Amino acid sequence: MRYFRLNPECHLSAGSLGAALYDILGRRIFLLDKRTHDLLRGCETAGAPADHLQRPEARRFLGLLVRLGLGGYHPEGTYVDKLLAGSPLEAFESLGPPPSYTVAAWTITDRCDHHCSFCPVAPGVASLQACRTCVRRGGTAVPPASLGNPSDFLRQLAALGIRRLQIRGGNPLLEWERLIEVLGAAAAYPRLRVGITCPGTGRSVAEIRGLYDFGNVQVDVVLHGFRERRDRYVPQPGDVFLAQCMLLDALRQAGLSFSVTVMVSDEAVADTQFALRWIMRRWGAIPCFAEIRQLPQDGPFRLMSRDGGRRPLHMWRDVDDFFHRLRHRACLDGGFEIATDGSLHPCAGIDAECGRVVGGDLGHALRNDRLYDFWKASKDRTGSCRECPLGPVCFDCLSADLFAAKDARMSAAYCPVMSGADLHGTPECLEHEGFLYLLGIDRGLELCPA
Amino acid sequence: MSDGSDTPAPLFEGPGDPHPALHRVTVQFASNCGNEYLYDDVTGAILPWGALEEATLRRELRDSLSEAHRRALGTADSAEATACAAQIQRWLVHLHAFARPPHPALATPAACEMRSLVWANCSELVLIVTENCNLSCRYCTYASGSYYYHRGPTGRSMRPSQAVSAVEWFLEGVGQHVARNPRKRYGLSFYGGEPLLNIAVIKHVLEFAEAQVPGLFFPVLNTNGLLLTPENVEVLREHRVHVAVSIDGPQPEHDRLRVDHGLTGSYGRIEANLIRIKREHPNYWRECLVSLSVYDPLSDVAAISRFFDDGASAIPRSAFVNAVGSHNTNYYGRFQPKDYELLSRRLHALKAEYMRREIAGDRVGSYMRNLVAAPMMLLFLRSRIHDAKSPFLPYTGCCIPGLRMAVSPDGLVNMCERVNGTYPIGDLTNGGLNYEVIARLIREYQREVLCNCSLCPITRLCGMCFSASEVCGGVKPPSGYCAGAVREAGKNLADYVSLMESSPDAQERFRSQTANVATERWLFQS
Repeated sequence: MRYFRLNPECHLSAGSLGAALYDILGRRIFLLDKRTHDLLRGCETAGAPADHLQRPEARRFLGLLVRLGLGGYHPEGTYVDKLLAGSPLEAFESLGPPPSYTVAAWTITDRCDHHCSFCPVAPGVASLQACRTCVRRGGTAVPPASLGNPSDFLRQLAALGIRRLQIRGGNPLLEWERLIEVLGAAAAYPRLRVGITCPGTGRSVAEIRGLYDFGNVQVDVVLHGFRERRDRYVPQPGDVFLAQCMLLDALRQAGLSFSVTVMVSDEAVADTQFALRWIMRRWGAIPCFAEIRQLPQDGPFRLMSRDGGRRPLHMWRDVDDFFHRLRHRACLDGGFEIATDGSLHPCAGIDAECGRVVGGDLGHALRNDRLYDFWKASKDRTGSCRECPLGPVCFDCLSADLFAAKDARMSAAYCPVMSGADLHGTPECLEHEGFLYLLGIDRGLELCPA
Repeated sequence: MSDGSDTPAPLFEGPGDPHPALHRVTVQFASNCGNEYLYDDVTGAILPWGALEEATLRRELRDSLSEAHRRALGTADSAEATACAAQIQRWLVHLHAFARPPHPALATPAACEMRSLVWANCSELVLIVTENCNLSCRYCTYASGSYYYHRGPTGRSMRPSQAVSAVEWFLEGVGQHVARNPRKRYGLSFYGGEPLLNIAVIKHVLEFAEAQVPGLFFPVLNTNGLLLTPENVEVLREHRVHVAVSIDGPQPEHDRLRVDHGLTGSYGRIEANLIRIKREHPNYWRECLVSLSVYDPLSDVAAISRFFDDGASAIPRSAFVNAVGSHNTNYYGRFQPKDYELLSRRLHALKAEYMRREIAGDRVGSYMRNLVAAPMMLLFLRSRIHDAKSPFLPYTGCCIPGLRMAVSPDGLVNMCERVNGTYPIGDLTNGGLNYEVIARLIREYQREVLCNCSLCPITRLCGMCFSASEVCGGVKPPSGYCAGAVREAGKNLADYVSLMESSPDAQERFRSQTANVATERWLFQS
């Protein structure tokens, strides 16, 4: 008697939200219904055919899997050694190669010239996309900690291999001298790109354009609301939007690189499609939207992505990337944020402190294992995501925030998969590029609409 | 597929073949219950393998097909044959599995690139604080006179200033790499002779390191245990030194091999020290002490295993078990064929007992696991397709000279504490590391040892290194080593999959059981 087993390069993933079969080499994902998953799980673990395997429909289905190159028949008890990209165990990480530091955010000030009612975010509240905005971390405002001479600090960042430094606030343009000092120090490292997340106010257009003279600098402008619509959370004078438009016009005219993030209230959500087209036409940039919402009603403010947005799935690049995503949280891996008080965080949107820069010694803060625990906090370690079979291909920071804040209230409101979308039907909540299939004993194989 | 010979036959290359000839690097083997498998050295994967898979791969690689292969292709269900071909093609295309180009040109190391390569990857400073010893073990590499190319006991000891200079030199070398990797820690190993004979230097170095670079070093010490006095233990405990004590078994076994200069056994004195440590510092004993053991053909490995199983004993858990070194020695000349047969029977029985326990989910003692299951554990931990290897030394278990730096009392730097000391890679009294020498040694290793490795089907499982290939004035693998290693790998692979077939939970148990193996191997690989 020969028994069906999935091929070594196939990875079966399941949770209460559904099940998926990953063809690692073929770069395909098959969403499975429960009955199909149970059949395959039985083939993988039982070691002998269950009764239902003898049924013609099951045999037909397994025949389909053979034709798809997902499995085959083997003698009883055959051991299938699953494909791995690397040895299953690592030596102490402190004995191994250096971590791949890629991005550092440095919040140089909590000062701001706006008085948005949702800022700062209350402590312990998960807030998405904070890394793209100028939203401040909650808690008592503290004066900026001395991180020593900026040149020394930049030297340490460069020595780590950091390729992008994101300077943020508050409004970092209000700390002009310090900003100039930091950009001057960063200019000594041509391979280090510097982004400045700011509302684009508080300094003249000419002065802001002048920042580009340091080289490798990009201004990332955060718009508070859009057009003339007066956002109820952003009591800004009417000319702020105009000033931001003038700045972006000037940057566009000068051919300088920049990015745009728009914070919108739930009232303005309906405008986002229009805003998207308008911004693309006027500045040639695809904006990122961060929605301001209160959850629960009258509860704390949070930043979220657009309500009802489809969950974007991204294919793994190669075998290594697939296993990396299984083990690591892709949105945090390689990054950290230094807050104004010198505390080290996994990113600007996460409260959890992972260390503290003492006396300008960044290395001291990075010796702590806690940061790397966040990097390795794979989605299997986040309750909601553990139940979702799409962890390795789902790219967002939601799970990281949930993991850190233990703020489960947000998951149902944000993630269409977690909120009970039918992954077994035609899951319109998923955005992909033609690599997602529906596979079932009854339905056979169907390409999931892209 | 390998037939176990040192020079496997090359694959067929068709006329006008646009592809370079590839050499197949796989091992076919069967489990105890007869299921067939293939180990692929390119990816490190183990695949279920039948006649259809074999015939399909041969066809894809344009290898010759026997009548049996043609029959397998002809009689297979067409859907199954198509799927099999598609799977093999995917492995060939995406992973370049099953075969590699023969004799690729290896990257040639230049002295100028050695400096950054060595310091970026080095992991441990070994201080040979004394070449003196208070024991005269029968199998000692230095004192027994049985090893041809090793130095004898010299009685030399390191002075505190020399030791501190060595640490300062090391810190200077790794400085920029610590900035690149703030969580990096380096091993700081105290070695001998018997290192505790020079506890003053050990204490001095530990205090210096703690004051200068707190937390940077992970201190370890290999000792025979005689000098684990209360005062010495206090020093080690204060700096949380991980200690490996050489214990070869219960008293008769230990005292047969590990004797002092008056030929008196050492077991009783060591055990008394360990009992005291366990009583006075139970946490330190549990967390920082392990045992290292060796055995020879007269060792009653079953009795030793029972000895280590004794939970009430003060003997620390076994971390490593090795046979007495068999390279460049006449040590084994004293044994009769019946001694080897007896050892073989004992090992066989112990292995059967291990398999029985593992399959039943019963407890397996640390000695039994390290003696019998180590090859299987290492197979579980074997490197896979994307595990990095130096382009200079892509095959065998060899590391770049300089990744462990063993500094002797006279200031010479050797590539590790196990090499015979006749080809140092540096001299602290004369400029530190000699990168020309390191580059030359790598080129020599490439020429003498790695020359046929691209044809070998078990390069990921091979333990060959500089130390294991030493000959007078150079390196060369011992005659017959490669064929023997392939045979041994085939047996270990068969044991491994047999265990996995019999116990579906074995993989998960291996995962937890081997959690410390990689690190301890690295720390105590003496």
